[in-house]
Amino acid sequence: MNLDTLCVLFREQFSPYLDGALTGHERQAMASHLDGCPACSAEFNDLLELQESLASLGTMKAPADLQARLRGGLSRRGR
Amino acid sequence: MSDLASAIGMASEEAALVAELKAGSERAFALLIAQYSHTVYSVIARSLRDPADAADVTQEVFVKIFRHINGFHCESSLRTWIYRIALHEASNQRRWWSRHKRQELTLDAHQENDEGELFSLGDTLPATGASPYDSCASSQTRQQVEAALRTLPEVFRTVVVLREIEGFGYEEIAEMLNVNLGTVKSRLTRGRAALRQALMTSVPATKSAASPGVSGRLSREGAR
Ligand SMILES: [Zn+2]
Repeated sequence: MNLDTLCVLFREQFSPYLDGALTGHERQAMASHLDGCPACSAEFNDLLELQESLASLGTMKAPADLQARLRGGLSRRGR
Repeated sequence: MSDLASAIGMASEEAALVAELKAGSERAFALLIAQYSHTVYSVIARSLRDPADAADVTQEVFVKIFRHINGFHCESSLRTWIYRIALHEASNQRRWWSRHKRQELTLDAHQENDEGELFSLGDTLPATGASPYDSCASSQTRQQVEAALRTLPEVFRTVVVLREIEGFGYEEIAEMLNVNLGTVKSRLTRGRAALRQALMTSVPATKSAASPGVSGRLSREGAR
Protein backbone atom coordinates (compact mmCIF):
# COMPACT_ATOMS: atom_id res chain seq x y z
CA MET A 1 0.00 0.00 0.00
CA ASN A 2 1.56 3.28 -1.01
CA LEU A 3 1.42 6.37 1.12
CA ASP A 4 -1.35 8.05 -0.91
CA THR A 5 -3.71 5.17 -0.35
CA LEU A 6 -2.90 5.29 3.32
CA CYS A 7 -3.58 9.04 3.41
CA VAL A 8 -6.95 8.55 1.73
CA LEU A 9 -7.92 5.98 4.35
CA PHE A 10 -6.92 8.23 7.21
CA ARG A 11 -8.68 11.23 5.68
CA GLU A 12 -11.90 9.28 5.50
CA GLN A 13 -11.62 8.95 9.27
CA PHE A 14 -11.08 12.66 9.95
CA SER A 15 -14.76 13.30 10.53
CA PRO A 16 -15.30 10.55 13.15
CA TYR A 17 -11.94 11.51 14.68
CA LEU A 18 -13.26 15.07 15.15
CA ASP A 19 -16.35 13.61 16.80
CA GLY A 20 -14.36 11.42 19.16
CA ALA A 21 -15.97 8.40 17.50
CA LEU A 22 -12.81 6.38 16.84
CA THR A 23 -11.62 3.56 19.10
CA GLY A 24 -8.46 3.92 21.16
CA HIS A 25 -6.37 1.99 18.62
CA GLU A 26 -7.77 3.98 15.70
CA ARG A 27 -7.05 7.21 17.53
CA GLN A 28 -3.46 6.18 18.19
CA ALA A 29 -2.93 5.18 14.56
CA MET A 30 -4.42 8.50 13.44
CA ALA A 31 -2.28 10.53 15.82
CA SER A 32 0.90 8.85 14.68
CA HIS A 33 -0.02 9.24 11.00
CA LEU A 34 -0.72 12.94 11.52
CA ASP A 35 2.63 13.26 13.29
CA GLY A 36 4.48 11.92 10.29
CA CYS A 37 2.38 13.32 7.42
CA PRO A 38 2.41 17.12 7.01
CA ALA A 39 -0.19 17.05 4.20
CA CYS A 40 -2.78 15.16 6.24
CA SER A 41 -1.88 17.13 9.31
CA ALA A 42 -2.54 20.42 7.46
CA GLU A 43 -5.88 19.21 6.16
CA PHE A 44 -6.88 17.92 9.56
CA ASN A 45 -5.95 21.22 11.21
CA ASP A 46 -8.23 23.04 8.75
CA LEU A 47 -11.11 20.79 9.74
CA LEU A 48 -10.32 21.19 13.42
CA GLU A 49 -10.31 24.94 13.01
CA LEU A 50 -13.59 24.75 11.11
CA GLN A 51 -15.08 22.70 13.95
CA GLU A 52 -14.04 25.35 16.45
CA SER A 53 -15.49 28.14 14.29
CA LEU A 54 -18.78 26.29 13.96
CA ALA A 55 -19.00 25.68 17.69
CA SER A 56 -18.38 29.39 18.27
CA LEU A 57 -21.40 30.32 16.12
CA GLY A 58 -23.72 29.07 18.83
CA THR A 59 -27.49 29.14 18.90
CA MET A 60 -29.00 31.93 16.77
CA LYS A 61 -30.59 34.71 18.75
CA ALA A 62 -34.36 34.42 18.71
CA PRO A 63 -36.63 37.50 18.78
CA ALA A 64 -37.08 38.70 22.36
CA ASP A 65 -40.84 38.15 22.22
CA LEU A 66 -40.66 34.62 20.79
CA GLN A 67 -41.62 32.77 23.99
CA ALA A 68 -44.53 35.12 24.67
CA ARG A 69 -45.71 34.72 21.07
CA LEU A 70 -45.59 30.93 21.34
CA ARG A 71 -47.48 30.89 24.64
CA GLY A 72 -50.05 33.31 23.23
CA GLY A 73 -50.46 31.24 20.07
CA LEU A 74 -51.18 28.12 22.07
CA SER A 75 -53.66 29.61 24.50
CA ARG A 76 -55.61 31.29 21.67
CA ARG A 77 -56.06 27.96 19.98
CA GLY A 78 -57.21 26.11 23.08
CA ARG A 79 -57.36 22.32 22.97
CA MET B 1 -23.34 4.76 38.54
CA SER B 2 -24.12 8.43 39.09
CA ASP B 3 -24.43 8.84 35.31
CA LEU B 4 -27.01 6.10 35.25
CA ALA B 5 -28.81 7.60 38.22
CA SER B 6 -28.95 11.00 36.56
CA ALA B 7 -30.11 9.44 33.31
CA ILE B 8 -32.95 7.72 35.16
CA GLY B 9 -33.66 10.96 36.97
CA MET B 10 -33.87 12.84 33.67
CA ALA B 11 -36.05 10.17 32.09
CA SER B 12 -38.55 10.24 34.95
CA GLU B 13 -38.50 14.04 34.92
CA GLU B 14 -39.28 13.92 31.21
CA ALA B 15 -42.04 11.34 31.72
CA ALA B 16 -43.58 13.64 34.33
CA LEU B 17 -43.41 16.59 31.95
CA VAL B 18 -44.98 14.55 29.13
CA ALA B 19 -47.80 13.47 31.45
CA GLU B 20 -48.46 17.09 32.37
CA LEU B 21 -48.39 18.12 28.72
CA LYS B 22 -50.90 15.43 27.88
CA ALA B 23 -53.11 16.67 30.69
CA GLY B 24 -53.09 20.08 29.00
CA SER B 25 -51.17 21.88 31.70
CA GLU B 26 -50.39 25.43 30.62
CA ARG B 27 -47.47 25.51 33.03
CA ALA B 28 -45.97 22.44 31.34
CA PHE B 29 -46.26 24.05 27.91
CA ALA B 30 -44.65 27.23 29.21
CA LEU B 31 -41.82 25.08 30.55
CA LEU B 32 -41.47 23.26 27.25
CA ILE B 33 -41.37 26.57 25.40
CA ALA B 34 -38.78 27.97 27.80
CA GLN B 35 -36.66 24.85 27.40
CA TYR B 36 -36.79 24.34 23.64
CA SER B 37 -37.96 27.41 21.77
CA HIS B 38 -34.55 29.06 21.33
CA THR B 39 -32.69 26.04 20.01
CA VAL B 40 -35.64 25.00 17.83
CA TYR B 41 -35.79 28.53 16.45
CA SER B 42 -32.05 28.48 15.78
CA VAL B 43 -32.09 25.17 13.92
CA ILE B 44 -35.05 26.34 11.83
CA ALA B 45 -33.50 29.74 11.08
CA ARG B 46 -30.35 28.07 9.78
CA SER B 47 -32.40 25.68 7.72
CA LEU B 48 -34.71 28.14 5.94
CA ARG B 49 -33.96 30.13 2.82
CA ASP B 50 -35.24 33.22 4.60
CA PRO B 51 -34.46 33.24 8.35
CA ALA B 52 -37.12 35.95 8.78
CA ASP B 53 -39.70 33.15 8.50
CA ALA B 54 -38.17 31.22 11.40
CA ALA B 55 -40.43 32.66 14.12
CA ASP B 56 -43.59 31.71 12.21
CA VAL B 57 -42.32 28.22 11.52
CA THR B 58 -41.32 27.83 15.17
CA GLN B 59 -44.87 28.81 16.07
CA GLU B 60 -46.20 26.08 13.77
CA VAL B 61 -43.87 23.57 15.40
CA PHE B 62 -45.16 24.31 18.89
CA VAL B 63 -48.76 24.20 17.71
CA LYS B 64 -48.03 20.73 16.27
CA ILE B 65 -46.42 19.61 19.51
CA PHE B 66 -49.45 20.88 21.39
CA ARG B 67 -51.85 19.06 19.06
CA HIS B 68 -49.98 15.80 18.82
CA ILE B 69 -48.52 15.32 22.28
CA ASN B 70 -51.14 12.65 22.98
CA GLY B 71 -49.67 10.60 20.15
CA PHE B 72 -46.20 10.73 21.70
CA HIS B 73 -45.53 7.51 23.57
CA CYS B 74 -41.86 7.93 24.45
CA GLU B 75 -40.67 5.84 21.44
CA SER B 76 -37.86 8.38 21.34
CA SER B 77 -36.82 11.09 23.75
CA LEU B 78 -39.11 14.10 23.87
CA ARG B 79 -36.25 16.20 22.53
CA THR B 80 -35.76 13.97 19.49
CA TRP B 81 -39.48 14.04 18.80
CA ILE B 82 -39.59 17.84 19.00
CA TYR B 83 -36.67 18.24 16.61
CA ARG B 84 -38.17 15.74 14.22
CA ILE B 85 -41.27 17.93 14.01
CA ALA B 86 -39.13 21.05 13.67
CA LEU B 87 -37.02 19.61 10.83
CA HIS B 88 -40.15 18.41 9.08
CA GLU B 89 -41.81 21.84 9.29
CA ALA B 90 -38.63 23.53 8.10
CA SER B 91 -38.50 21.19 5.14
CA ASN B 92 -42.15 21.95 4.26
CA GLN B 93 -41.39 25.63 4.43
CA ARG B 94 -38.34 25.24 2.18
CA ARG B 95 -40.44 23.37 -0.35
CA TRP B 96 -43.11 26.08 -0.22
CA TRP B 97 -40.43 28.70 -0.63
CA SER B 98 -38.89 27.12 -3.71
CA ARG B 99 -42.31 26.67 -5.34
CA HIS B 100 -43.51 30.21 -4.72
CA LYS B 101 -40.47 32.43 -4.56
CA ARG B 102 -38.19 30.71 -7.01
CA GLN B 103 -39.93 32.17 -10.05
CA GLU B 104 -39.71 35.67 -8.66
CA LEU B 105 -35.95 35.64 -8.52
CA THR B 106 -33.78 36.83 -11.30
CA LEU B 107 -31.37 34.07 -12.01
CA ASP B 108 -28.31 36.23 -12.42
CA ALA B 109 -28.55 37.36 -8.81
CA HIS B 110 -28.84 33.83 -7.50
CA GLN B 111 -26.74 30.74 -7.61
CA GLU B 112 -27.71 27.15 -7.38
CA ASN B 113 -25.89 24.64 -5.24
CA ASP B 114 -25.44 20.94 -6.10
CA GLU B 115 -28.99 20.14 -5.11
CA GLY B 116 -30.69 22.82 -7.14
CA GLU B 117 -31.30 25.01 -4.11
CA LEU B 118 -30.98 28.69 -4.80
CA PHE B 119 -28.97 31.03 -2.69
CA SER B 120 -27.97 34.60 -3.25
CA LEU B 121 -24.31 35.42 -3.04
CA GLY B 122 -25.27 38.99 -2.28
CA ASP B 123 -27.27 37.84 0.74
CA THR B 124 -25.00 35.20 2.05
CA LEU B 125 -21.41 36.13 1.45
CA PRO B 126 -20.44 39.04 3.64
CA ALA B 127 -18.93 41.97 1.82
CA THR B 128 -15.49 41.45 3.26
CA GLY B 129 -13.52 44.64 3.50
CA ALA B 130 -16.65 46.78 3.20
CA SER B 131 -16.27 48.01 6.75
CA PRO B 132 -12.66 47.35 7.67
CA TYR B 133 -12.64 49.59 10.71
CA ASP B 134 -15.55 48.50 12.82
CA SER B 135 -15.38 44.73 12.43
CA CYS B 136 -13.20 42.64 14.67
CA ALA B 137 -11.42 39.62 13.27
CA SER B 138 -13.40 36.98 15.11
CA SER B 139 -16.84 38.32 14.17
CA GLN B 140 -15.64 38.59 10.59
CA THR B 141 -14.71 34.94 10.65
CA ARG B 142 -17.99 33.94 12.26
CA GLN B 143 -19.87 35.84 9.60
CA GLN B 144 -17.92 34.06 6.89
CA VAL B 145 -18.54 30.65 8.41
CA GLU B 146 -22.25 31.43 8.79
CA ALA B 147 -22.36 32.54 5.15
CA ALA B 148 -20.47 29.49 3.91
CA LEU B 149 -22.91 27.32 5.86
CA ARG B 150 -25.80 28.84 3.93
CA THR B 151 -24.29 27.78 0.62
CA LEU B 152 -24.27 24.09 1.62
CA PRO B 153 -26.95 21.76 0.27
CA GLU B 154 -29.63 21.36 2.92
CA VAL B 155 -28.94 17.68 3.72
CA PHE B 156 -25.36 18.49 4.64
CA ARG B 157 -26.15 21.75 6.38
CA THR B 158 -28.67 20.11 8.69
CA VAL B 159 -26.31 17.43 9.99
CA VAL B 160 -23.48 19.92 10.38
CA VAL B 161 -25.71 22.29 12.36
CA LEU B 162 -27.14 19.52 14.54
CA ARG B 163 -23.74 18.02 15.25
CA GLU B 164 -21.32 20.95 15.35
CA ILE B 165 -23.48 23.78 16.61
CA GLU B 166 -26.20 22.08 18.63
CA GLY B 167 -23.97 19.22 19.79
CA PHE B 168 -26.25 16.23 19.13
CA GLY B 169 -24.80 12.72 18.84
CA TYR B 170 -24.90 10.55 15.71
CA GLU B 171 -27.72 8.33 16.98
CA GLU B 172 -29.97 11.19 17.94
CA ILE B 173 -29.42 12.94 14.60
CA ALA B 174 -30.22 9.69 12.77
CA GLU B 175 -33.48 9.42 14.71
CA MET B 176 -34.40 13.04 14.09
CA LEU B 177 -33.86 12.71 10.36
CA ASN B 178 -35.11 9.15 10.12
CA VAL B 179 -31.98 7.99 8.33
CA ASN B 180 -29.39 5.41 9.33
CA LEU B 181 -26.15 6.07 11.18
CA GLY B 182 -24.01 5.57 8.09
CA THR B 183 -25.94 8.32 6.32
CA VAL B 184 -25.37 10.72 9.20
CA LYS B 185 -21.64 9.96 9.19
CA SER B 186 -21.24 10.32 5.44
CA ARG B 187 -23.26 13.56 5.34
CA LEU B 188 -21.06 14.94 8.09
CA THR B 189 -17.90 13.99 6.24
CA ARG B 190 -19.15 15.53 3.02
CA GLY B 191 -20.63 18.56 4.76
CA ARG B 192 -17.37 19.34 6.52
CA ALA B 193 -15.40 18.94 3.30
CA ALA B 194 -17.84 21.15 1.38
CA LEU B 195 -17.74 23.80 4.08
CA ARG B 196 -13.95 23.82 4.06
CA GLN B 197 -14.09 24.21 0.29
CA ALA B 198 -16.65 27.02 0.47
CA LEU B 199 -14.50 28.93 2.95
CA MET B 200 -11.42 28.50 0.79
CA THR B 201 -13.14 30.02 -2.21
CA SER B 202 -15.07 32.79 -0.42
CA VAL B 203 -12.35 34.36 1.68
CA PRO B 204 -10.22 36.93 -0.08
CA ALA B 205 -6.49 36.73 0.53
CA THR B 206 -6.48 40.19 2.09
CA LYS B 207 -8.27 38.76 5.10
CA SER B 208 -5.23 36.67 5.94
CA ALA B 209 -4.43 38.61 9.08
CA ALA B 210 -7.96 38.09 10.39
CA SER B 211 -7.90 34.32 10.09
CA PRO B 212 -4.51 32.69 9.93
CA GLY B 213 -5.85 29.20 9.26
CA VAL B 214 -7.79 30.25 6.22
CA SER B 215 -4.84 32.20 4.86
CA GLY B 216 -2.69 29.12 5.31
CA ARG B 217 -5.17 27.19 3.22
CA LEU B 218 -5.25 29.89 0.59
CA SER B 219 -1.51 30.09 0.19
CA ARG B 220 -1.29 26.31 -0.03
CA GLU B 221 -4.00 26.36 -2.67
CA GLY B 222 -2.24 29.13 -4.55
CA ALA B 223 1.04 27.26 -4.56
CA ARG B 224 -0.43 24.28 -6.39
ZN1 LIG C 1 -1.22 11.35 5.12
